[in-house]
Amino acid sequence: MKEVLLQNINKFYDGEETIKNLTLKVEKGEMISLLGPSGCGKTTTLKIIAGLVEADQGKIFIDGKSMDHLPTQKRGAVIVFQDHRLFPHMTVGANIEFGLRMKRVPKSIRRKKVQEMLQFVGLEKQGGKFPGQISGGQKQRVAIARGLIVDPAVLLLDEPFSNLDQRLKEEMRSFIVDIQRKLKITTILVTHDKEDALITSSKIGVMFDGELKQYGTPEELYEAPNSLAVARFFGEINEIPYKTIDDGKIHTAIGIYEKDGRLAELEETDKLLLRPEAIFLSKEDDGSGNTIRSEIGNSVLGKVNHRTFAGEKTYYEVDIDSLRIRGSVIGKGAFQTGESVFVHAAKESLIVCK
Amino acid sequence: MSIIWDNAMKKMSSTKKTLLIGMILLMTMFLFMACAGEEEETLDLETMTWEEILEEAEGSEVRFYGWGGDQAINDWMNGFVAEQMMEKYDITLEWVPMNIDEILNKLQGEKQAAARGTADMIWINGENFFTAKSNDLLYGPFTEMLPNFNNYVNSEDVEVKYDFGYPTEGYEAPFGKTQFVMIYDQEQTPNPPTNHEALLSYAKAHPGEITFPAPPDFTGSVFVRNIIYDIVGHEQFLDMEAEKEVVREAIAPAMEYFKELKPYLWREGETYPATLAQLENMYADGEVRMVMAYNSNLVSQRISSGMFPETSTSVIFDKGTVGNGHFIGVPFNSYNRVGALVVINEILSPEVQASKYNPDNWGDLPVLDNDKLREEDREIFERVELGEGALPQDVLLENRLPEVPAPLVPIIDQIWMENLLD
Amino acid sequence: MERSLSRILLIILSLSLILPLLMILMWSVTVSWPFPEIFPRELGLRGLRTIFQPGSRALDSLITSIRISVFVTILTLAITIPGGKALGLYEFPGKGFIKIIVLAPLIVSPVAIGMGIHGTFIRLGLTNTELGVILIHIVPVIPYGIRIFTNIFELVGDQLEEQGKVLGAGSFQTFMHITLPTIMPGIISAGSMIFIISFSQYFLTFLIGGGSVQTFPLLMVPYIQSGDRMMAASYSLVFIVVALLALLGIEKMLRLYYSKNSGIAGVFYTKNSD
Repeated sequence: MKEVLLQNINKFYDGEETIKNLTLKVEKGEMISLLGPSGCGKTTTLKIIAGLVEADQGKIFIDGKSMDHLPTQKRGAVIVFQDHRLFPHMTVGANIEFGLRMKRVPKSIRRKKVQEMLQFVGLEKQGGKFPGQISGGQKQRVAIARGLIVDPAVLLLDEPFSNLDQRLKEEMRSFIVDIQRKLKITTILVTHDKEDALITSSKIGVMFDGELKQYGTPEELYEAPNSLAVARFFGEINEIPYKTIDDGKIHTAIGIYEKDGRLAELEETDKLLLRPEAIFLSKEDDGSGNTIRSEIGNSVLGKVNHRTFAGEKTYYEVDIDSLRIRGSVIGKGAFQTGESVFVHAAKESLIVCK
Repeated sequence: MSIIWDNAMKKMSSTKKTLLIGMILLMTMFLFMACAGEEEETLDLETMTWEEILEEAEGSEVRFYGWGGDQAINDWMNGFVAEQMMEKYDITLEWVPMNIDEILNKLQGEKQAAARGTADMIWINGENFFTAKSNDLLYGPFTEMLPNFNNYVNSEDVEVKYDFGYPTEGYEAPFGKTQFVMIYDQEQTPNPPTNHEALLSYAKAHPGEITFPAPPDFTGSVFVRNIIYDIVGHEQFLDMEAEKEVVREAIAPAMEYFKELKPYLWREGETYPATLAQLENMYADGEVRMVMAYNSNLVSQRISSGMFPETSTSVIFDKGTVGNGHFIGVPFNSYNRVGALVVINEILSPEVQASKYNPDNWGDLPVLDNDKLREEDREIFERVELGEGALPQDVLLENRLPEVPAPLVPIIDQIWMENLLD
Repeated sequence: MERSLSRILLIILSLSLILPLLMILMWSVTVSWPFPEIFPRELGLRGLRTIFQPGSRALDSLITSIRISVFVTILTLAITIPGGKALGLYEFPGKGFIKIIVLAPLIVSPVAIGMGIHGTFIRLGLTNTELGVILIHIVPVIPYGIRIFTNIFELVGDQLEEQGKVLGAGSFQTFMHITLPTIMPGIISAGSMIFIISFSQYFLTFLIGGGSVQTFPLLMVPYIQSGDRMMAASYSLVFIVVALLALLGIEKMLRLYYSKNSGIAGVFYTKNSD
């Protein structure tokens, strides 16, 4: 339950900058994610916090204390690695016990705590087995238990779900969220999967090429990404071309909007983005003679070019003049390929990004 | 070690790492420098009386280095000789069995580094002696300091004055004598050949059952010289120039003989046993009919150890066989010269020489002059019972031919190899 | 098909290992064994008696040999484990060059190295001492140790050590509890090899030990060269048996250590939880 603060961290490898001026604050008891494609410097960041890699510039504070020149074993920053790294020559019990042994905790206390921990992670029966004799999910639990038992100042999880199948992954995700809530342990999770980050974390930092692009709550990142790259990372997105004409209105490919509200600050260099699920499609004629268009108002006519049914959702590709946009609707959708449709988007769902 | 390394590697920049490695190396060197050995003074022996030498040597340790391939000799050195030294002079004699070439390497290295040695006595002769003496690896002259040398040894005897043609000049004291013999199983060979022609006919009669270790094997080389002596006589070699062409001409008839013999040898002379040891084993196994030895008593030892058939017997040529002496030298850097002198003196005593002559111990011929011995000492030798298959001392001495000068040895070996190995 | 082939190969392999040993055993007690006969004609114990008689130099030298080889093994491991780790895990300038240099003793003849070092050792007062012999024995075995440990560390990496450290283990603790057990197979194979090479050293021992340090091979080699089959075979037999026992001992000891540092906790948790 300690806060973690990174200030202007820089790291070079072979003259190349792998971490660029990273500043990040994690509140006490908070669980955050570092999200980004592989090779973006997430794992290096964890190693820098733990002291396994030394930053070339910048400072790290854990609970207000500077970590400068403090060796790894004294930082209390425990990494649970993606590949578990269980000690193959020790039993599950001995693996979990390891941190306490290193701290020379008396044997009787150690035994008790290991028993509790085994129970906590649901591995009461596996204590005497060797890592080679248990399943992947169980290994993951052992690795986490081994980290938790030393009561870390901060728990650093390195891609904990990436080697697991879908079912196990969901199970582990809720397991970790559960533990984190129970123990209120400051946790940093590193992942390349937006879903992991969105589900588990109260804040997400998106990293590309060693740079923290945006740091905020899942909602902020999803709804107000500050760059096309961040926006793309959270899912498919349409870029909507637009023009500002003297009349003070914004003429987009999907309609004309007043320059106020969300769009008040729109500058000419900004991009206008729209998520597929924010696109409404309607028929020219709903069969009763009433045009829906009049009800919605602001809309343009397009033609369905392609339809993809994906179970709970259906994806449409719609051509509006030369622009092709992607939209999605819940369910199987009412439009067929080749049909003309009205395309509409609410002003509130438009995303402005630098 | 590993912790330091580990941390250093992690924390340091690359240049620092290189520096660190360099520093560790330097420190290691200084550490060794610090424990460098100290110099010791040696006594001026020439001005001391024998009594003073004896007194000085009392309670000391003498290290005697020599060929260690014979269990009987090793046992005799560790047993009888060591006990004598302890009882009589309170000297601890440490017999260090090894191979002689290695001791010369070692002395050479110590010479360059001007280091104190560990060997106080070395068993040496022939070329090794020549090499050692011409490289100043030996202490001397010392033989005239030894009472027993002066009392019992004929210093004018050719075999004392010369070792393989090299003047000994008091740099080595005689230790023992050996003589080349050929050994046959009497049951198999009732009339063993006693000259080169008889040997050729014998080989023709039993093709593939005679052979010898090819020179430059020590014993094989002696065998070749014996054949040469038998064919062209030995006198001309004693003052022969060490010129290949001169030697080639002198031994040409003998080379013809070997070429004639070759097809009747074991494996038609295409290959030879690599060592004498192999030939001995072949004889013991009944694969060949003859074995040779540069040790007139070898046969009785081999019979008593059970290796050779009991009917084995030594044979020499009618014109005689080559004999040589072996000696004891004192290395230039011996730490305990007085002790060495006392031990060498004792080895030249009738008791030790007689014990050495006893085939149960070693069977090596004595170096003492019969004429110089007192009556009771002579009896000691007469009481020694000669081993089975061996020839008596007087028979050997009467048919003893001197070795060629050492520089000729490699030349003869070379010419033989050029003619017979291809 | 493949099975029977590998079985045949196994038999051939075991025979090629056992037969020479049997021959040595036979010769060590054989007085006479004439050529065409299948069994020795006469047996005796001269060779073995000489070695095992009370106060025998062979036994003294055997103890000296074992002591020297044990020290050589420990010291060489202490040098080559960190060395192999540095070469296997870290990048630093001149690494390629150092990798070649440490293998040099394999290429240059030990005789040449020995002669060169002899002079230096004389000046340092290390000749004729057991310490000097131990140090010179380390020279020819360094390449094997470095080679084995470089490969091992390249293979195991430093992941487990990193894990140990983040869990609170200091450098020494990490080394003892994680690094050592992880590279244990390498320690056993390198240790055995180092021990055997040191145990059979003849020339370097004589050159530096100068006969003051009498090891078993120093007594054995002259007999082998002189062709006294019984003595040579007896010495060889004792040599091989002792070397094998020492190897088994090394392995046993290390395995014991290994299980002490991991197994006990494991046993406890099995008992408690099942």
